[in-house]
Amino acid sequence: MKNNLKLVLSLLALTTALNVFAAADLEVNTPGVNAIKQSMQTRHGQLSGFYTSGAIGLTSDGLVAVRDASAVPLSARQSVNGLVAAENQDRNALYSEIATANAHPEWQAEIRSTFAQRWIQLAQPGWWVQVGGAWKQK
Amino acid sequence: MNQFSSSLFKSVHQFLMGALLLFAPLAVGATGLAISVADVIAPSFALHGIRLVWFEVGQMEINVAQMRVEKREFSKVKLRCARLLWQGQEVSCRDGSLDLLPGVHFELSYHLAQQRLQLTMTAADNERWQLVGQFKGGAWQVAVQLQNAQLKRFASLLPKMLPAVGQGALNGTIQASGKSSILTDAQVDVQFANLAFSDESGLHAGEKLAGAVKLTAQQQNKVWQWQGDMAWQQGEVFWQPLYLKTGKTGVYQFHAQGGFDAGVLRVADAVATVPEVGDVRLTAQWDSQKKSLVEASVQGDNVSLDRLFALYALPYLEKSLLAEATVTGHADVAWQYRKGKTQLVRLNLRDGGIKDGAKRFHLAGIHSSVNWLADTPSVATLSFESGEVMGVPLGAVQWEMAMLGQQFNIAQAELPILGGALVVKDFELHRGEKDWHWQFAGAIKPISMEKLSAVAKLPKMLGTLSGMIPLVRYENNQINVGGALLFQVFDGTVVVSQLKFGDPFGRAPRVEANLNMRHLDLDLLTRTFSFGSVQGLIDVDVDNLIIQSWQALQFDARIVSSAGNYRKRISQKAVQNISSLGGSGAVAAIQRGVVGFFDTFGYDKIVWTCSLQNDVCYMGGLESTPSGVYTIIKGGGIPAITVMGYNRNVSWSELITRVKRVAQDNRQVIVK
Repeated sequence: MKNNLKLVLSLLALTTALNVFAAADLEVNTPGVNAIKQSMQTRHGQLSGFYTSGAIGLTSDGLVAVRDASAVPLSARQSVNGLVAAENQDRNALYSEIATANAHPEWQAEIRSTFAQRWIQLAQPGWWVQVGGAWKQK
Repeated sequence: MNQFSSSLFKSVHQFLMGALLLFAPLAVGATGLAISVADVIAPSFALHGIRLVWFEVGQMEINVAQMRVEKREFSKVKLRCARLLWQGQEVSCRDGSLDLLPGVHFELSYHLAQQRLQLTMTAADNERWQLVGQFKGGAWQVAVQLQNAQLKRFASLLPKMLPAVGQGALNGTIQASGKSSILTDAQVDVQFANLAFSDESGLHAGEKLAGAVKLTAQQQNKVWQWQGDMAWQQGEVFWQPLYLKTGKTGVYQFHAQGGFDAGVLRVADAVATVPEVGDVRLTAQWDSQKKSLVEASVQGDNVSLDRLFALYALPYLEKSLLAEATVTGHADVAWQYRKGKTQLVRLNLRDGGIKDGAKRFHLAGIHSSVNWLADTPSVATLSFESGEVMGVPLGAVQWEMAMLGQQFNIAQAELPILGGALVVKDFELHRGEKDWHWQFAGAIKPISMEKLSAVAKLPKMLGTLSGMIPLVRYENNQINVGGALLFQVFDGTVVVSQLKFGDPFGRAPRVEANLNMRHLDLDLLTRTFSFGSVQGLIDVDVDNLIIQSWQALQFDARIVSSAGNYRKRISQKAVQNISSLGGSGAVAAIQRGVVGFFDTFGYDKIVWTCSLQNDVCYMGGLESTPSGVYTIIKGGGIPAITVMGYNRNVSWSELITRVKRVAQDNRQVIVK
C-alpha cells in the first residue's frame, strides 16, 4: 500500500514536471535568440556540403561533430573544425537562451534534448546522425 | 635498428642451421615431406607452429601458425621458395614469395661459414630492397639499400599509436652494426617521396610529402650520441589544428644533435628553419618512460610575425577576438620550460601591427619588451603609435606592466581617445582556478561629443563626455561595474548603476543597468536629433534595463520635466513629431486648431512613462481620465498646448522605427 502510494506520488511528480516543461515556448523570440539563429543560418550554407559528404554529422546531444575528417581536403580540415566549434557554441547558447527566456534556466537539458531529436528528424536523407552513440546515415 | 634486428639475425641463423640439419638426410628423393619445427622465440619477435613442407621439385614452403613482431601479431604466415638450393656452404631460396607481401619476389641466401645473409626483394616499378647482413665473432653489420621502396609493405609493422602510412617510397641506405644483441652504430640516409599518412580520425595526416632524412647514432656504455638533418621539401600536413604546406614558400629544415641515456632523449643545438618565419633554436629533454617533457627551450631572433602568427598561433585562437586578425612586424621570442611549468617568456616586438579582418580594431607601431619569469618580478613595457577600436581612433600610448607569476598589474595608464582619454588605474589581471579575472578603476577625461557622434555615425552632438569609473571587474564570463558611472552630457548628468555585461564576448551579449539622468538640456537634445525644438530641462530614469544583442529587452522608463524655474517652450514641429510617434489617433494635441498659427507653445510639465515587456511598451503620462486617456505634455503659458495620449500599448519595434524615421529623415508628419 505504502509502495503504491509512493509510485502514485512519483508518477504525479513526474507528470507535473513534464507538464511544466511542456509549457516551454521553444519558439520564444528574444534579441538573443534571434542573433543566435541568424548566426546559425548564415553558417548553415558553409556546413551543408559537409553534412552531405558525411564529414560532419548531428549528435544525439543536440550538437554537431566531425565524423569523417578524411572526406575533407587537408587544407580545409581546420576550417571545418572551426565551423563545428562555432556552430556548437551557438547551439549551446541557443539552448541556454531559450531556457532563460522561458524564465526557467533549469530546463536547458530538456530543451537541448528536444532540439536534438528535432535536428535529427529534420536531417536530410544521406546525412549522418548519431543514434545510441553510433553513427547512422539517414 | 635496435635489439630487434640483432636478435632477429641471431635467431634466423639458428633457425636455418637447425632446418638444414633436419633436411639434409631427407632432401633427396623425398616427396611432399612435412616437418614441424620447434618455436623460435626472441625478445622482439616469435614464431609459433612452424611447419616446413618440402616438395619433390626442390620447392619449399614454410608455414607459421602465429608470428609476433614487436607487439604486432600475424597468423597463418606462408613463405614459399620456388627453388631451394644448397650449394656447398650456401643455402639459397630463389623466386621466393611471402603471402604477407603480395607482389614481392625475393631471393634469400645464407653462407653458413661466413655467416653472411643476403636478401633481395623486388617488385614492380623498379622497387628493390637489398639487405646484406654479416656476422663475425659476435659482431654484425647490416646494410639495406632502398630503391623506390614502398613503405606500405611494412605499414602493418608500425606501432598502432602512429598514424597509418598509406603510401610513400624510400631511396637511400640504412646501415647498422653491433655486437651480440647490442646495436652500437646506425646510419640512415634516405629520401622519401609521395608519402601519405593518416590516423583513423583524419586529424593527423600528411599527403604528397617529399624530403630527406640523415641520421647517425653511436652507442657507448648504453649512452647514445646522435645527430641528424631533415628536410621537408614538398607536400602538406594537417596536425590538428595546424596546417602546414611547402612549395613556393620554401623548405622546412631541421638540424639537431643530442643523446639518449637512461630513457631520456636529449635534443641539443637544434635549429629549425621555418619558411617565411626564420630560424628557431630548440633544446629539449623527453623522458620516454614517463612520456613527459623534462625541460625545453625555444628561441627565435628577429622572426617574422606575419606567417608565425597565421600558421602557428591563429589555429589556437579561433574562439577569441583575434580569430580574424593579421599580424605584422618582427620579434625576438623565447620560451623556457622546466619543472613542469613555463619558466620564461620573452617577446621583444619591433614595429609590429595587428589588424582585425572584421575591422573591429587595429594597432600600428607596436613595440614591446616583455621578459616574463615564473618566480621573479619583472616589468614589461608596451607602446603603440596609433590604433582604432570600433571606429574610435586611439592615440599613442606607452604603458608599463608589473609581472609576477600569473599576476599582472598596471598602476596607471592613459588611452587617448577623441581629444580626451580613458584613464585606467590599478589594473589587475590574474589567473583564477578556471579562467582569467581582471579589474580596474578609472576615469574618462573629457571626450569631444562632436567627434564621438561622428565616429558612432550619430547626429552631431555638442559638449563633452566625461566621468568616473569606480570599479570594473571581469570574472565568470561577466563584467560587473561596481558603484556608479557618472557622465556629463547635454549639460546634464547621467548616472549608470548596477551595470553588468553578461557573456560580453559571446553571440548574445547581455547588458543590465539602471540609468538616471538629470537636467538634460532639451534644446541641445532635440536639436541634435532634429526632433523639432523643445526648450527646458528633463529628468530620465530607466530602471531594470536589459539589453540583449544590443536591443532593448525590458525596462521601466520615466521621462519627467526637471523641477525648477526655466523657460519651457515646444515648437510646432516637435508637437507634430510627438503626435506621430503613437500612430494615427494615438496622440492628439488639444487646441490643434491653433497649432498652425504659432511656431512655439508654452508647457508646464512633460511626463511620459514606458514599461517594456515582450516588445510592447506600456505607456502612461501625467494624469489619466477614467477612459484611460493620459496627459503627456500639460500646457502652460500663452499660447499653451496640451498633448494627450490615447493608446496605452505600442509595439516597441514599431515605435523605434518611427523615432528613427523622425530623427534621421526629419520627415514631416501632419497632425490630423
